[in-house]
Amino acid sequence: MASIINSGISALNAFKRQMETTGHNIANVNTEGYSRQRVQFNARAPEAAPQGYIGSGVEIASITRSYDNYLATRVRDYTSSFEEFNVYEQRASQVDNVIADASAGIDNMLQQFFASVNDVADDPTSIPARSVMINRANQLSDRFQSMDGWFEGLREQLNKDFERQTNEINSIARSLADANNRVRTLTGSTGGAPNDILDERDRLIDELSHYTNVSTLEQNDGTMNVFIGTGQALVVGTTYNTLGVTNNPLAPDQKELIIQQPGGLAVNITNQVTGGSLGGLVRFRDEVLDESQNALGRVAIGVASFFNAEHQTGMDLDGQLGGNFFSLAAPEALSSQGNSVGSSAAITIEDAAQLTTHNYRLDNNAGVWSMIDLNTGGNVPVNVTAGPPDSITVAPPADVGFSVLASGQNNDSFLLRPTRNGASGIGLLVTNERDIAAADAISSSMAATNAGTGSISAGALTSLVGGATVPTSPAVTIQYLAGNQLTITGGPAGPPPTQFVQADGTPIGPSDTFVPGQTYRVAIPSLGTFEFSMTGAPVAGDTFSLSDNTGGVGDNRNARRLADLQTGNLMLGGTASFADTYGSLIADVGTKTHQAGSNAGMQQSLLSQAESAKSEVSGVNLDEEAADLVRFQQAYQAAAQVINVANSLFDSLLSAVRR
Amino acid sequence: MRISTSQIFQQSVDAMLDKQRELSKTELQVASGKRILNPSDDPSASVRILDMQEAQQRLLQYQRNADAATARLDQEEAALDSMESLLQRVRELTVQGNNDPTGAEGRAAIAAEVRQLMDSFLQLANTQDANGEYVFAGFQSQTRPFSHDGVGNFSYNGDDGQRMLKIGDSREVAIGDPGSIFMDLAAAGGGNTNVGEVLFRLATNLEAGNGDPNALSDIDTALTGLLSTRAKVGARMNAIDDQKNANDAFDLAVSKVRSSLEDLDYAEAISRFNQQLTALQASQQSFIKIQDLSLFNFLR
Repeated sequence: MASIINSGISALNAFKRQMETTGHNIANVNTEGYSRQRVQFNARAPEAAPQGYIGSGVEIASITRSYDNYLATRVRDYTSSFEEFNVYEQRASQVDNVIADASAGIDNMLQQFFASVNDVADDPTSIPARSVMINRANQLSDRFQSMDGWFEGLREQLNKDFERQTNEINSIARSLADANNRVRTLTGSTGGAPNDILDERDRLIDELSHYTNVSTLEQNDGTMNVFIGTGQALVVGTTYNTLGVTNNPLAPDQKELIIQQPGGLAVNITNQVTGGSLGGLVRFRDEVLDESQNALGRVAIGVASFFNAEHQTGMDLDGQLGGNFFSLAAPEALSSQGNSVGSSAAITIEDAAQLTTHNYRLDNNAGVWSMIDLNTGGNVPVNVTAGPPDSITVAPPADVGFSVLASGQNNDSFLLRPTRNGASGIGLLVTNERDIAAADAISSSMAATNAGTGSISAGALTSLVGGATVPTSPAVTIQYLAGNQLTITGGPAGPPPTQFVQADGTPIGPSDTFVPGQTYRVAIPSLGTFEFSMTGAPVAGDTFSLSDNTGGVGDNRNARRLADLQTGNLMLGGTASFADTYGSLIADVGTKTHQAGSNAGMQQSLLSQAESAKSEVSGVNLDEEAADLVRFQQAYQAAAQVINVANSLFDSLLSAVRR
Repeated sequence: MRISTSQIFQQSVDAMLDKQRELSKTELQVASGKRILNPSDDPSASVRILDMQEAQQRLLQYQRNADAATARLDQEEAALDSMESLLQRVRELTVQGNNDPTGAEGRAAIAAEVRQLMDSFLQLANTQDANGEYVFAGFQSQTRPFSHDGVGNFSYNGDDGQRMLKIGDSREVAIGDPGSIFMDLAAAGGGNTNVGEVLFRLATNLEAGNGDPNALSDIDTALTGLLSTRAKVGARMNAIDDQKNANDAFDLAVSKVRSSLEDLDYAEAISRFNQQLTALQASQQSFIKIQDLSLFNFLR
């Protein structure tokens, strides 16, 4: 009789607990990270009787959560991958949107600027046309600067995100260590696992996987060791390490991620942080931001260098040589924090056509300089002419378009970013309309008395000697002599002597053979090299002259050459125009954004599959709980009925005895 | 397969968000008429489109250059035309003046007209364009090119420079001729002379009551030079017209390719839009239906 009541009571308790758990499940249907719980029953140990064993009801074995560690790990892995591509794509598409935008990009401004140069070529004496050209040049350099400023803004945002996200990770790490502590204490005290705290701990690890790759290792005492990135310990038992952000020793504007290890050792883990939003940010910075800012700087340096070179050889409205049109900031050569006193490095752009978008590091190892391409990690062979300062050039055939003047001692190193500040540092030197050099300094003519049909081309000044000035007298005379010879006489005072030279400046001498259509180069003293060609059939005694073009304000030869720079393949080793070079930036960013987008989409569908799989095991289904509720209620009622029966049995017995 | 309640909701919401995103992209495409909204939509096509934009800008610039060149050549031609009729008149006067029956009085009257014509010629040779540049001064376009000291010495202060404008990728055209074409003419009487000098000598001879036997030949030399220059100007204007037509044709060809890369196929986009709209509505309606289904609704 007592066993009936005992069985009934054990069942009542068990089913009540089942209904409580069902209620708990229903209550947590919307709780993130909650795993459905189930009450596991055991039949109680039976009582021994001579006839055999008699059952004695039910007992609760455990309350377990439906959780599959493998599925949870998969969700975390896909979360990290998805977040990485997602953050990368979000940031890259900001760059993508802006660089091709007509109102923000460079290509449109380049077109407008060169159109204004063309208008000056159409009408070289027009002050309004010149004024428009200066305005357009200003707008172009403003656009370079504002776009660079926009990149800088992205960089600042990114540095702040580093700070914010490491703080989040630290707070998660603290909570995880705390959760570990509670799991250990509670597991020890009751013997059963504290399901809701395990869920909480797993949810924290899930959250961590948004920021970076996570791996875990469960210990015997129930605590969970958590590792981030490629295996840096974040939480070990009940202790945790702190993540931090610090300046790169070579470049203060570049933040690095560090982890403070026990004993106060800070380890740089920037390159070990993979996956998650932090990994996405690091990759975005390395692959898109730095690259784009350098590529933009390269276009700015290209435009300024080639335009300046051409402008210098022209003559302005006042008869002066043109000088530089654009200004550029000195390229960045940053000293490492630990460099010796008095060490220095300065970059000179030698050939904008050969510039890359890479950054380099210059190291002094026991007095020997070496250079590393930071983008490829490869060594860049250098030729050094001892100084001080030592002159460092890249050994042919490799060419990076710049050289360095450096002085330093063992272990000194410098970060070389030849193109980084190209766009931020571009400015305008010519502000007066009259200073635009639309004309050429030298004009060619032939004597009216010439008997032959020989003619001379308008020609062009192609290079200058140091301290060059426009000569005012006397003219260079070229005479055609019998025997198909050209001789050259006259010219202004000063070195080098008036003579024919080769393309590289090697002297040929005061006479040369006449070949129709051939390009001749003449060194004009105190000025530079003038290039022209001759056609037709001169007769002996015919003369041609190269004289100063003072007053030649209607001449547009140099303006035309400046305008032609727009279409010339000057950049990327002589294979691309300015617009092409900028276009390659657009294509590069566009492709990277596109790829990141499709990768993010793929990872997202993998993630949602993994989440479904996990949710199949762990999720709460209200219909299921409703059915359970009915089922448990019925069982509870049945158990109550058992007690009722026992009661009436007891009553019958009592009444039998009472009589 | 079990499926959790929150998953049912999440899946429905995700499906709706996806469809809204697609719909919004199509809507942007339809609104802008462009197939490519960002370079990442089609990186290689967007760079090609930029190339073509630049080519078209350049063609536009060539057309502007060609218009500027035409304006200058028109002005030069007008001046040359006036000079030609002026010299024709001088030629008639020379014939009259050299004609014996014309008496001293008649010659004086002719001489007066020749002097007038000489001044006019000088003015024409010093023609300025709208910007105040002298048309026949070579590069020295702000220096008055022709001067006369009053006693028959004419000098040219310009140079031989010829301004060129680019009107095609590999085509440049001269937009003027230097004033030296009026100077250094081979004189019938030997040596060199120039148009002004011929007119001055003719007038001086006529005033003295004499004819000028060399004048007719010198004027013919000047006229021949003038005509040959006019022919060159005409050839240049033809070349400009040709090039403008070629530029237009090229522009049209580029526009076609650019449009095929850049522009939206409206028929396709609208039908895609409708499809996406239907899909969104369907997922919204199925969401409403599914969220009504709960066993708890039946537990009373």
